Amino acid sequence: MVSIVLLLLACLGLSLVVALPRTVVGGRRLFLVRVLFPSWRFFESIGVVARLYVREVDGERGYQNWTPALKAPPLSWSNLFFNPHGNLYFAQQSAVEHLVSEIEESEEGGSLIEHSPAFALVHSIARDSIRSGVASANGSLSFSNGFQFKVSLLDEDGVEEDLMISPLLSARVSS
Amino acid sequence: MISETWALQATLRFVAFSVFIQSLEMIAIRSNWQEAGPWAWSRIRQEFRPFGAAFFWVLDRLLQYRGYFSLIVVQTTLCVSCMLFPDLRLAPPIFILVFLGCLRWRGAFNGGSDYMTVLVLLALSVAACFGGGKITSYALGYIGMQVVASYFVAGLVKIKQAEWRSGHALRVFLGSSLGQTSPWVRILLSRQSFSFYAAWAVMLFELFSPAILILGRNFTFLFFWISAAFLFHLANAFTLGLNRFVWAWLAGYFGLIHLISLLNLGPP
Repeated sequence: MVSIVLLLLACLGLSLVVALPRTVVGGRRLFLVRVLFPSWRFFESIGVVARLYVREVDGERGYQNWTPALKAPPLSWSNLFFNPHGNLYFAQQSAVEHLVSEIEESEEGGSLIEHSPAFALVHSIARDSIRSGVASANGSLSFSNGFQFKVSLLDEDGVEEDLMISPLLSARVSS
Repeated sequence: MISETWALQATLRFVAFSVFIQSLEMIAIRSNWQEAGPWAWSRIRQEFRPFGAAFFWVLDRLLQYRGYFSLIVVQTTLCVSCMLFPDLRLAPPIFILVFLGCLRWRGAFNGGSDYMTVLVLLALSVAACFGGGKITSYALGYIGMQVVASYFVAGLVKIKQAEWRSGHALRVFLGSSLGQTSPWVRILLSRQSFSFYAAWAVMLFELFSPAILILGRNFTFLFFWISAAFLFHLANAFTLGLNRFVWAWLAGYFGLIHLISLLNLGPP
């Protein structure tokens, strides 16, 4: 009987904590060790979905069409035991979402997003998607070409809006 | 009665299996984290500057391509050893390697599954370092508590949202946002009543999960509850590609079974 009462009290306590307005504890250090503080708020709300697009800029053909940079690999039964590219896709998507939150913070703070590590990472993911043929009609990106990437937000009504468009970037891998 | 030794060995074996799969997946995508790849350490390392020069220096040695590859090889070897010969002393080194791996991926590679893997390994590591007496038993109980909390909190945050109560959120998550939807799921989702009932089934299962701590004394009920939870994760793996969650949570179920025994509510 005591155990049942304790269990109900624990559930009530957790419910009250979840019902409180959510406080985001900020800071770079906490973000990097967040794995030690699980929140278990899986699939809480639809919200907006961040999408990454790329386009090549060719000296002769000019600006090409925007193409989705991230493509989820098809699912199969074997993915239960081995799904490296599916999980990489989630990590890439997460990197784009992190850039979105940094853009929103930088708009408030006035800092330049182009100097942030999150921008550098998404930049390299975008370039890699073209070079590997995921997002290129031609299959590969020439070193002589440049490219741009953009991040769009898709809301739950299906309306998509551009959040940022990168400057013209070099296809060459910087060291 | 399920013994503490049995629960501990099963937890060790399954968490090692979970990390083993994660290690093989990481090796398979190594072209992405080589120096020429998009996730090169030279790019990620900038995030760690606020941690101080000494920590930065250590991470630089461990997490550049060759260092990280070596860590994964060691991690894989330790996991194979732990699957074959489960030993609590293997938990701390595996925990440190997995935690370093999370740092390598800017805090986490796969979100929730990393959280559960690290939590299980951390609890086992505490038991390994400060073991004796009841510490190991409490560590297993803590894993069980977190397994129940993971379902309960996930259910609470969902039922607060009107879009979940109507079934719309489930349709959106399965239908578009993660983009890996199977054709047969699309056919099911075309029926609005399916997503409504499926969303409520998920929420009710999650919200009533704490009841397992009381009703779990009945072995049949415990068996069906764990089977249902496992099937829930299998469904997520086959519809959303969340395969790592299956193995991470499976490792936690033995802590839950032990917790039920610990609360003296389990089978006599």
